[in-house]
Amino acid sequence: MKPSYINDEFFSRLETLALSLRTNLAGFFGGKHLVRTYGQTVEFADYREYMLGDDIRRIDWNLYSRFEKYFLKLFTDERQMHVQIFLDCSASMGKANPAKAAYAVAVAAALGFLAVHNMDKVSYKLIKGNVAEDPIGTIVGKNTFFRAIGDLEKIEFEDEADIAEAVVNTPTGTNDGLTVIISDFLTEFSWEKAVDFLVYKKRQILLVQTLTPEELDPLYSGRVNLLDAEARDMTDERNMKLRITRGMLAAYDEAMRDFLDGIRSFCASRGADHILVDTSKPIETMLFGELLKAGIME
Amino acid sequence: MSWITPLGFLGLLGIAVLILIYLLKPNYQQKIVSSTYVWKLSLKYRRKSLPISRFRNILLLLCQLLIITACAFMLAQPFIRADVASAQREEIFILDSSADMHAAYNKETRYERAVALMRDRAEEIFGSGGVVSVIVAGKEASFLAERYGAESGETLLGELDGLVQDKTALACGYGTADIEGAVRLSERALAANPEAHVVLYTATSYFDEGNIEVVDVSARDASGKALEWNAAVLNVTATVEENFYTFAVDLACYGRNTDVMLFCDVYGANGQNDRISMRTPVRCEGDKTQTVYFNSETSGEFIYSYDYLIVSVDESDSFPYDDAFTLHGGKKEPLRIQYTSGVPNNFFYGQLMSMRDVLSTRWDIDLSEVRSNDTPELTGFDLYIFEHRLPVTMPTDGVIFLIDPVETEGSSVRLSDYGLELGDPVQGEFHPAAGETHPLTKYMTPENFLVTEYTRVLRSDGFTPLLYCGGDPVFLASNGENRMAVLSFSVNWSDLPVVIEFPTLLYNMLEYYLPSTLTQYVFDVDDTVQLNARGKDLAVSGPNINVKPQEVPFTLELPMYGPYTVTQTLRSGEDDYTVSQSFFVKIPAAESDLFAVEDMLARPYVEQAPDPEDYSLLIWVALAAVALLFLEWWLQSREYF
Repeated sequence: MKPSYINDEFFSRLETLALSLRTNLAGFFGGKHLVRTYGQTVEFADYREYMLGDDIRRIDWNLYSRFEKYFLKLFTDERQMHVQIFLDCSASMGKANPAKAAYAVAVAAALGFLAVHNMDKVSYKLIKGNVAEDPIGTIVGKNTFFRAIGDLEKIEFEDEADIAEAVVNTPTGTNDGLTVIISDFLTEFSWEKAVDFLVYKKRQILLVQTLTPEELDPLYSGRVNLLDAEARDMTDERNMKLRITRGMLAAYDEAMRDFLDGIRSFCASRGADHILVDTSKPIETMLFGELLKAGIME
Repeated sequence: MSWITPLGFLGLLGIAVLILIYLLKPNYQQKIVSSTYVWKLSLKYRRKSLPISRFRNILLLLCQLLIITACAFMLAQPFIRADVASAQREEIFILDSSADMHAAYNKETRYERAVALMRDRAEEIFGSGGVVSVIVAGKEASFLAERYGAESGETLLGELDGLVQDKTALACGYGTADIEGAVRLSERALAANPEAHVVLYTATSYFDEGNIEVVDVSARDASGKALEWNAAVLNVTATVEENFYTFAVDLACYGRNTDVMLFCDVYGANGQNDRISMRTPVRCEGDKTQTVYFNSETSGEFIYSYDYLIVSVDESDSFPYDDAFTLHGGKKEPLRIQYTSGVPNNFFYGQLMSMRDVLSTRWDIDLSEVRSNDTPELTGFDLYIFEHRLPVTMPTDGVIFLIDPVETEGSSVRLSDYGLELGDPVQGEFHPAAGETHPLTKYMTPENFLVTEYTRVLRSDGFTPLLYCGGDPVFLASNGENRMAVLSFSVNWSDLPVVIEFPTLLYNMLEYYLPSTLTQYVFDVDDTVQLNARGKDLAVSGPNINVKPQEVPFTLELPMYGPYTVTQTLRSGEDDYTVSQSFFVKIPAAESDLFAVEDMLARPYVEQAPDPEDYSLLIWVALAAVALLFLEWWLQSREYF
């Protein structure tokens, strides 16, 4: 039986949270995200002098009585964002450790729920090979979300995934929301191109890296034949025969540290957010800890 | 270096086990991981390991092998023998005294040749101040001389001379030799001096002589060709085919391919005193045993009974003791049984007739039935059966079996004179219960039959109760002054005659009261024969033997080949008469093969008991083992560095 985190209790805990998106996004009409542009809401934002062509009904007559100049009252605008969630569906995400896959799905579901909860649009993109499948379509509203969320749990994690190819070839709006990529990033494909593409599209970017405790701190010893979950057969060159010693484990720690630092520095250079998730920790730690710390959640 | 327990080296088998473990142990454990991406990256960060790491596994295996070897050494308890002067030469001679050592060439037997060789060698050893032991391997091995030094040399030489002093009666046996027993016995001398040399004087060849020097004492020419040969009648059997005898003779020639004439003389054939002689030429080749048949087809003689026969070959071979073979047993022991019944019972008599047919190969049973009004004979029978009546007077020369004894008109027999007193009949349904274990009730299950009426036995002095009904004895036996058995119920009131227990009971009576004196008529030298007796004054005579056993059954050992005769006195009425039976003791067939080849000679086990002067290496081996254990532990602990 597949492990699962998705249930009513899980979503009820998310009711109090909201996605915190950048205010310089354009978005679509409607929605609840305050943006820098002025709109028709009741929330006061600023004054400006009357210009020819402005609606005279919006002139603040109190200010006119004081300054004998025409000032218009400006109100903030609220926009609807489009949240794209790319989920790495390669074998490395679930074949060796189904709990890791369940964790990634739960993260995707949580972020999706937060989006629809804030009246945003959500679309799930499942990266399989070098394409991003969109089996659910764009979700607006909770009812649609809950109908669609069941499909997420049926995802099969297999083969490999080229994140860059999949993201670049997916139709993506410009400056209209958040793109989340959930993956372990343990791939020889260059995922950095995907981030560059999304930066070009002026989207807010969040990379969620899910790793198991075994990947962060392996406990093997002795002679081990490491079989890569994405390997085609026993002769695949991704498989490795190693005699794991303490020195080898120390080298692994060092390599892992450098690998994570590389991701972090790259994200920082592109203005993207990156959070590392240890699947052994409760998912609440990720939602109420890592995401809040990163400022994605409020 | 010597070892107290060389068997401890069996511990080296542990090396095979260790290698097996290494072969079976999976080299790499399989582990599925999400990705080996980081592992590949980590290769760049790996520090160079020390050179010892590369050889760690080889060193570990070497350590473990050495530890096992050290343990095996500890089990073997090594020691270095103190440097004591043991320069004196010591030899242990084993003399094969089996029948084939009688084989002679130029009037000198192998046995004499062996003794002469031993004598020369002993003289040489005594001359150099050495020690000699002599073990004679006959039916049982025994020391002729145990560790005789030069000072006792003359005594030993005299004893060796005594073995062959009488050329017509050598000390050599006629059976097989216990060579293995002799080798075991030599261990006693070897325990005193493990450096002693064992020499076996024999004509038997061994593929594997081990650490024993085997001296061949057979006669051979300069080229090594055997000069002795032997034509042997190995065995003779008689079987009845279509009422006439066929005699099968196993014949072989060892050491020569030749034509031999085989004679078969039958004495007392078909009840006549004449001798029937038959002969046939036989071609013997390749030391192979062949079977020759004498019967009506091959010789034209129809023989349905005989006293004995002699099968022989007339050849001047090297070993004459197996040239003739005597077969007795052509005439069965006569047994006369009289069945007398007050109420004629065909069932009973039918059982007796069946038994006569079944046992015809063992006894010549003469059955006689006396009907109710006829007068039974009171002498001349081995077994008298009286059913529902008593005789006028009780017979005195045979076994008496009374079945449902009742007072009979005109009979002077009073059962009370024999210690018996009968009471009233008891009716009911009874499954008899067995009394004490007795040969008469052997193989019987009394619960299998039913008795509906029996006569209560009130007194049974001198009788052993063997079956009970309702707590009363119903079958009693006596084998003292009176040889009598009593069944106190009528077989008409029982289903005993229709169950297997009835013929079993009759058979047991013959076995118990009238046992066969002989159960077979051919034995090998050194066999034992158990003799029974139906009568008295049992006597056995044979080659160099004349015995009168006081008790039967009597066990007789047979050290000499040839015919033996057993006589005993039987009684018929008031008269005694003597009967005799014969059997033949032959040379064991294996001994006729003068050039026998055995696979392996037993090896003497020499216990390496250390002297107090000897230096034990145990502590050093133990120290080495401990050091190796530490080294192995250290290497193991470095496995993950």
